This record gives sequence, C-alpha cells and structure tokens, in this order.
Amino acid sequence: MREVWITDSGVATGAGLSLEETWQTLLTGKTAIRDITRFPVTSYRSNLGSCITKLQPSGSASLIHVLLHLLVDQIGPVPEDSLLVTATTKAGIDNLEKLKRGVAAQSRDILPSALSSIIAQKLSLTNNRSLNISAACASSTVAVAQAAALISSGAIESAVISSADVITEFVFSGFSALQVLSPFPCKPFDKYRAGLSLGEGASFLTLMSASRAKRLGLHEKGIIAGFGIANDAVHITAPDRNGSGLIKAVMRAMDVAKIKKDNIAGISAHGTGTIHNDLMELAAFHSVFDEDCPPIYSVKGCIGHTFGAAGGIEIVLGNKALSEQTIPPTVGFSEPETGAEGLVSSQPLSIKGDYLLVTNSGFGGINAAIVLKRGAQL
Amino acid sequence: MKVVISGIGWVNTSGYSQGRQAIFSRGCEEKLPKLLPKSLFLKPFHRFGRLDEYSKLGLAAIALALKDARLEAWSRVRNIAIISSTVFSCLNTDEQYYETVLPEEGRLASPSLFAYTLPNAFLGEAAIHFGLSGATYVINEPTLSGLFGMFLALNSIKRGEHETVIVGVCDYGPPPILSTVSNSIPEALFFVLQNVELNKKLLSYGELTEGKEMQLFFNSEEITNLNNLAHKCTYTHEMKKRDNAS
Repeated sequence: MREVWITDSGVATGAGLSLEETWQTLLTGKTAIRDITRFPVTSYRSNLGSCITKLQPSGSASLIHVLLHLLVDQIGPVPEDSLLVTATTKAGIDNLEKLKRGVAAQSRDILPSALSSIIAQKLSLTNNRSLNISAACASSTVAVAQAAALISSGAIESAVISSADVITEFVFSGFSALQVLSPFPCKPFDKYRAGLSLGEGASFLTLMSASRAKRLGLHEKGIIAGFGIANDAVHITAPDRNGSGLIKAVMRAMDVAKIKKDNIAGISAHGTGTIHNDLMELAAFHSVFDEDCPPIYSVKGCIGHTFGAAGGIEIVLGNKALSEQTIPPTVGFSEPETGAEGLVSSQPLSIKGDYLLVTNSGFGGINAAIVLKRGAQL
Repeated sequence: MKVVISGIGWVNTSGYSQGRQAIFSRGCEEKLPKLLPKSLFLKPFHRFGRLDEYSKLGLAAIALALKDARLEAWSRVRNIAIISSTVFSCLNTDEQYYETVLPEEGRLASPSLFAYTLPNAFLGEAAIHFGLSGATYVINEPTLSGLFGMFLALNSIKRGEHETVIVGVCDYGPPPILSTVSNSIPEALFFVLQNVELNKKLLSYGELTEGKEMQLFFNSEEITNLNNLAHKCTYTHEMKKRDNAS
C-alpha cells in the first residue's frame, strides 16, 4: 500500500472563509450559529444555523455555485490527470425550491453531479474523471476514503476531493420535522443538549501518492493513514445504540493505518448534539479505547452540522489540529454527558502524538472513519 | 485474487428477474411492473409498501441479485458492501417532500418523506433487511453508466476490504418538474461480485478484472456498458443451460 499525502486543503464555513480564519474562530470558543434570515423560520423548532454571510443568491444559479466559487479560489494547481471526487447530500436543492415556487432557476444545479461539473470547470480538469458520492452526513468522509483507497492501491496518482452543502428551507424544514433541531446553539456531548444546529460550508483536499508529490516538489501537509466504512444495519434514521457500525469503521481504519489504539492522540467526533448520536459515539469510543480513550471534540457547536460537507471540513480541521498539536474546544459544551467526563473540553487542549481519528455517521446507518497522520508542515 | 460475478438482478419496464432465470433485456415502456414483495423477499418485508418508489426499485433489484447469488438467507450480519450509481436518484421523492413544505410555511413538512430524500436511504433498508454491514454509498453521475462504481467495487475486494460487493445502477428518472430535462426511464440493475479465493464453490458467470487505465474486463473482454454485461452473462448462461439439456 502506498502512502497518501495531503498536499493542499481548505475550507469555507460560517466561522470563516478560509482554514486559518475558521481555525482561529474555533479556538476562541465562540459560535458562528446565529439567527437565520435566508428564509422564513417561524414555523420551525429552531431559528438558528451557521450561515456564511457572503453567501447570497445570484440570479438563477444555486447557492452551491456561489459557495464553490468562494472555495475554489483557494485550490492550488492540480495535476491534469487528477480524479475529482465531490460529496454532497442535496447539492443545489434550493433551485428545486425556486422552480416549485415559480421562480426561474438553473435546473441542472439540482442534480448532485452538478458539483463535479462546476469544480471540474473551475479547475480546468478535462479528463472526465469525476464522480459525486452521496452517503448522507458521512458523504465526504466516504469520498476521502475512496480517493485514498484508489491512490494507496496504485489505481490513481492524484485526486481532488471537494464537499459542499448549503442551508436551504428544504433541509431545515426536514430536520425540524424530524424534531432534531436544537432551539439553542447545539451543545455536543453536553448533558443538557437538545439537538443539532445546521451549518453550511465547503472543503477541498488534494491527495497524492508520495512518489507523485515528491516528483512535483510538494510536501506532505498530512497523511491519510487509514480509512474504514461500515453500516449499522439497524435503523434508517437512528444510530445503533451500541455503535456497532462506528466500531467496525474505526477498527478497520486503524487496521489499514497499521497502528494501535494508543497511537491515537485525539478524536474529531461527529458530535452533532443529538441525544442518540452523542450517546452512540461515546459507547463506540469507550468500546474501542477502553479506559484509555483520547480526548474527543466536535466542531459543530461552532460551525453547525454541515451535513454532507461535514467530513471533509472536519478532516481539514483535524489535520490542522494535528499539525498544531492542539485540540480545539467543543463550543457549547459545559456539563458532560455520562461517559464524556474528562474527555470533552470547552477549552483548547494540547496534545502530543502523530495520529488523529476523524469520524462521521449518517442516515441509512452509514459510519466512516479516517486516521490522519501528522505531516511535515501545514 | 480472482473476482467473479455471482449474481444479477434487475427491474425495468420489461419486468423484473434474476440472471439464472431469464436473459436480461430492457423495455421501452414508461411504466414499471408492479413489484410483489412475496416474489422478491424470503423474509416478510412489512415496510416495503410504505417506501418511496426509488427505494422500492433499488431494493427489489438488490433482492433479486442476492437471490441469484444464493446470498439471500442470513443469520449474522455480513461484511457485504453496496455501491449504487444514479443520475436523478430520489429527486421524485424530493419534489413530493417539498410539496408538503409549501403550504403552511413548513408546518406540514413530512418527516417520513424527508427520511427518503437521501439517495442512500434505500441502501440502509437493504443493509437492515439482508444483514449487510459493509460500506453503502451512492455515486451520482451526469449520465447513467455504473462503470466507476464497478471499478470501486472490484478495487475494494482486491484490497481485502470486502469479500462481496453488490454493485449496479438505480435510477427512477427525472421528477415531474425536471421532465423536460430528460426522458430517461426508471431502471435498476445490480451485480454481486465475490472473491472466489474464499469460496471455491460459489456460483459464477465469469471473471472480472481491471486494466491499467481503470478499464474493466469480463472474461478478458472490455466492459463498456453494464446492460451489455448483464445481457452477455445471462445469454451465455442460458445457452449453456440449453446445451446441457440437449
């Protein structure tokens, strides 16, 4: 198996339009979850979300176009033969809303494959090697895992993985109808949490085989050392209480990385702030790590749950955390849920180690885990 | 490592069947046949009738493919993955869901419909019903091909991630609001790929291999289309059956 290097990465979130800006906001412990003004929210369980202020409708194009435009300027030169893997749950579903309300809108933006064509066009990738992966809230984690698997097995040399999702009335009303929106900014792993807060954002990672990167004179900003995906096979919208799928995904990722559990210095959890998700994750992490569970954090109290884009954003932020040897605070957390005592903190924590675990789970029972290894520089 | 196609199942406007029972064909009618759960599932699937049409379509083809590979019965969850490619995925369900949001400013939004506005929801249903704990995800393509999914499935088996992968396409066509964009018709076609090294006795239509440029080969012949592949597998099987009978 070949080493998979992260040679470039970036994010755009409600907490900042770049990795550095998002990271700095995250470290302050402040939330970017605020009142939503994009559409009427009076009928819903919550009026909160982490929107990107600069993301404003532009003619008949979907907001996803505008978001990707904010992201794509951050992407450095990409080899022409790169595979493009995008990830989203609902792409430009805001354009379906417009069409149903009789407003002019570009219908092609509604298709999830639209993401690939928008980015391929912006990066001038003309090799027609692109796909979009949809696996609910683990979409971009699965996308990174698949791209890394293809590079490590020698099938390809280079890939760009980009994830994006926007807050729309469509998704907001759905999560409200499922009774999972928190009436206050979400509080992951807190005893008094009451649900999730939605966010929007985008990410990109450029992955390369070590040999290709060296040939191009690029340095490793991090390494995708392991990956694992598994299904709970228990329920469509609720996670398995025992975390069976997440345990399998994590064990598989550590197996691929050829590391032991005590090598993991920290865990970037899915940490949505819903009762069931956070309990499931704590059960899974305690099962895998026994008494020696490393510190756990969630970024969703700051940037909200960016659904299909979450994994990509959290992998980029996780790589930054590993590089800085600092785990960001879990914004909104104050009273630990049983099992989170001493593991989750509202303050930044120093860590010492070379590996960080990133996990995401989603509807349809899907779970995905990535093991990141510290690179030379970021 | 040798990977073979051990099962094929499909649902399209010409009907629904499995590889060892019929030769694959595609209809050009607009409507799908009525799917009868008793003819599809070994165990009762009580929720099947309440699922959205896209999920029913995909689940039925997966059930037939598993039945064809004799992998339908199970007692413990199995490390089997599902990769499904699509163009329009669940957009018909999306449109139906949004019609519940429009009146009363979202107060009547349907939680049960919203749960099926994710393209991978039916894979979760398949994982639960058939006890599958491997990776389950959907690939969105601009035009329906399924070849990249097939490549990822083969790669996954060769890396030792899964012993078996169910892979194919499921598309319900455009929703009414996009009906002018495309006139594609609903169809689902799934193959079961298995690592033969782990079970020498498994059923096989033939061997699947990969080329250096991500091409796929079935019995050394390049695959350019999953429908042609299904036809080739099922036609060859039928001819062998007739030869043996005569």
